[in-house]
This record gives sequence, C-alpha cells and structure tokens, in this order.
Amino acid sequence: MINRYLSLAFGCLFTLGSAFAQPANDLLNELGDEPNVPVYAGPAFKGTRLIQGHSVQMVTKKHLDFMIQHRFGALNSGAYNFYGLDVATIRLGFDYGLTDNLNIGVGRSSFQKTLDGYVKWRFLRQTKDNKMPVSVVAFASTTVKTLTPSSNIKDNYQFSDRMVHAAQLIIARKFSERLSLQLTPSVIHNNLVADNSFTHTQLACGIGGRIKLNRSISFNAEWFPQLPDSKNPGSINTLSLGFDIETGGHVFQLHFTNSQSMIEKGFITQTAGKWDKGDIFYGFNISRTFSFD
Amino acid sequence: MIKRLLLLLVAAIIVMYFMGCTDRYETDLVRKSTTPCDSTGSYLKVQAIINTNCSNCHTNGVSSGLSYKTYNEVSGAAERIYERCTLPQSNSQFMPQNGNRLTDCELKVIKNWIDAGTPNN
Repeated sequence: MINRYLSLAFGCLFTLGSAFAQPANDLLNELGDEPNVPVYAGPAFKGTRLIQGHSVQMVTKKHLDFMIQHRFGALNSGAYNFYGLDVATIRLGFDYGLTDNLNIGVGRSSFQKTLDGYVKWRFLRQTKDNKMPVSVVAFASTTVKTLTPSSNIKDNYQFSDRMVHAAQLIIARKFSERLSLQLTPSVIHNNLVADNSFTHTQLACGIGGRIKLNRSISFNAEWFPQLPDSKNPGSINTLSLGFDIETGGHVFQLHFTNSQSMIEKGFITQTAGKWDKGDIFYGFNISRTFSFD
Repeated sequence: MIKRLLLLLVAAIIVMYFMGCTDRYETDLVRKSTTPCDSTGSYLKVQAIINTNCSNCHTNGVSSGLSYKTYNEVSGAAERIYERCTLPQSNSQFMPQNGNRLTDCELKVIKNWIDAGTPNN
C-alpha cells in the first residue's frame, strides 16, 4: 500500500517537474521583455520555515541564510525546571540559494545528535495574474543520527541504520496580502525502527497558513496529521502556533508546539507531547541572511 | 545548460536518496549475549550504570542542578530515575536525554535494587 503511495507521489513529482519547469524557466526567459513575462505574486510567508516545516519561500540566489532554531523544555515540567526554560534543544543550520528556485541546506540538531541535509526545488511559482495559482516546491532531506548506538546493538549497526529520509511536496497559495495557506504532503522513511510493531514509512499531510496582523507581524499555524495506516505507536500529530516578526534582515519566529524536534523526521513522526496534557514547548527560529552577490 | 545540469543533479540526488532506503528492526540487531543477564540489584552495579549513562550531565550537577555522585543522591532519586528511563524514547522526559535507552538487563538491575530497598552494597 505504502509503496503504491510512494510511487504515485514521486510519479507526480517528476511528471509535474518535467512538464512545468521547462516552460517556467527556459521558454519564458527567451521571451525577454515581451508583455506576457510572468509577474510573480509577492512572498506568501516571511521565512523559509512556516513554523517547524519548510514553507514555499526560498533563499534567493547567492544568499546564505544562517538559522538558529531553539526549543525549550515542556511548559508542564514545573517551577523546578522554570517551566521548561532549564532544558533546551537546538538546531543550527545554513541554507544557500544556488538559484532563486534551488536551495540546499545543512544543519545539526542536538535532538538525537542529528545531522541533516536537504535539497529544495521550487518548480512552480504563483503569478499575480493567477495563470499559475500556486507555488509548488519539491523537498527532499536526509538525516543522520550520530548518537552512539546502544552497546547491545552496536556490533550489527550499519551506517544506513542512522539515516531517515523525508520527501515533501509543498503547495502554497497567497490568497491576499493577509492570508496564505499551505499543504505539505510528506513521506518519511526510517531505515531502522525498534521492532515490528513500528512501520518504516510514514505518510502525513501538513496543513498550515498565516494571517498577517500588520506589516511586520503575522500569526502562523501548522498541523501535521499522519495517515492512520502508517502512524507508529505513541506518535502524536504535531500542532504548532506562532508569530513571525520581521525586522530588517532578520525574521524572528516565536511559537508554541508539542514537538521538540526541528527536522521533518522528528516533528512529523516522533512527537510524543500532547497539548491537552501541557506538553507544550516554547521555541524560536532566528535567521539572518548574508549576500554573496 | 547550467539549469539542465542542476535539474539532472536534483534528479540524481532523489534517485540515490531512495536507493538509500533500508528496512531493518533493532530487535534483529541485538547481539546474542553469551553471558545471561545477572539482574540482581546492588548499588555497585547501579553506580556503574549511572557512571556510563548519566554522569555526562549529572555528575557535576550541570543539568537542572541534579547530581548523582553519591549513594544518597542516587538512592534518593532511584524511583524517578527508573521512571524516566522506562518512558518511550520519543517522550521529552525520557532519560538519558538525547541518549540510548538502557538495556533490559540494566533496567532490571535498577528495578531489583529499588525493590530490595536501595541497599548500599
């Protein structure tokens, strides 16, 4: 069943890619200054992350975005732990724009001492005249858990057992200056799981959006429901709410979420926190863009 | 030309990426132990487990001010230690934080030590 979903998802991805990328890039460039050069819609979101997950925004060509992501401990951990502020997980990442439509990135999370790398390709871009009503991004990432394996499995542990892959299609539309919505069908593949009560491949579809409150602040929400067939025992769907604050070259994202991880494999499939039990983590993303133009 | 090369690169990465998928279970990787688990509980054994798995953060009290250096400190927190180590690994309260789950044998040693009244032996 899952294999069928997978082949369908990637069949679509390649077909869409080959059908649209060519006209969107090469042919339209050849048209030069003719009147039907597409005028793209303005940015749907302020940052390259909606909250936890990637948005359709890209780092522009020859720009490097340095991002610090931080999640404190759970609010319900009590006054003793200063309501979570004593505990923290962090991810440091670099995102680089090879072109305006192709980004690569690397990062390192303290959550399970994980390294991650990704490729993000925007092959459709929303235009102002609505000839192209949505922006669509293909996203693929691989993570490597560098944590030393338990002594009892160390002998048979291979490098591939450390890896988890994620692939997403990020589809977003800016409906108005204030409102943008995003859908993120996602496939996560864990090379190694605990035992046969767990499945290796999980499917989920992120739903999110933003409402702009004024020029520099927006309210964002993001939910990643997993398909019940592929959901692992104990895994909770991630819900995150937050604000984006834009000041000069920085975007500050402040949020509350029930997931402590900041990479796809973690926040889509390994969330254990429940909002109604108070397992809520306060966190922020800060990014700064450097130009190499 | 460069755009085509980039597209080819992306396609190649996606293909390589899915070739990198494997399906393995941790239970299949467990080394068949030649010596059976001696799960009798003693402070000496618990201390060894704590030193290997917890001392990184809890010897000098760097994390949340909790130190597990002495018998009194460990025996006072024994039940809480066991409880946190037996949570699902994805739980944010799971210990060792960002570490590996203790082996079944190690957990049994701690449990038996607690059941025996955390003796200093």
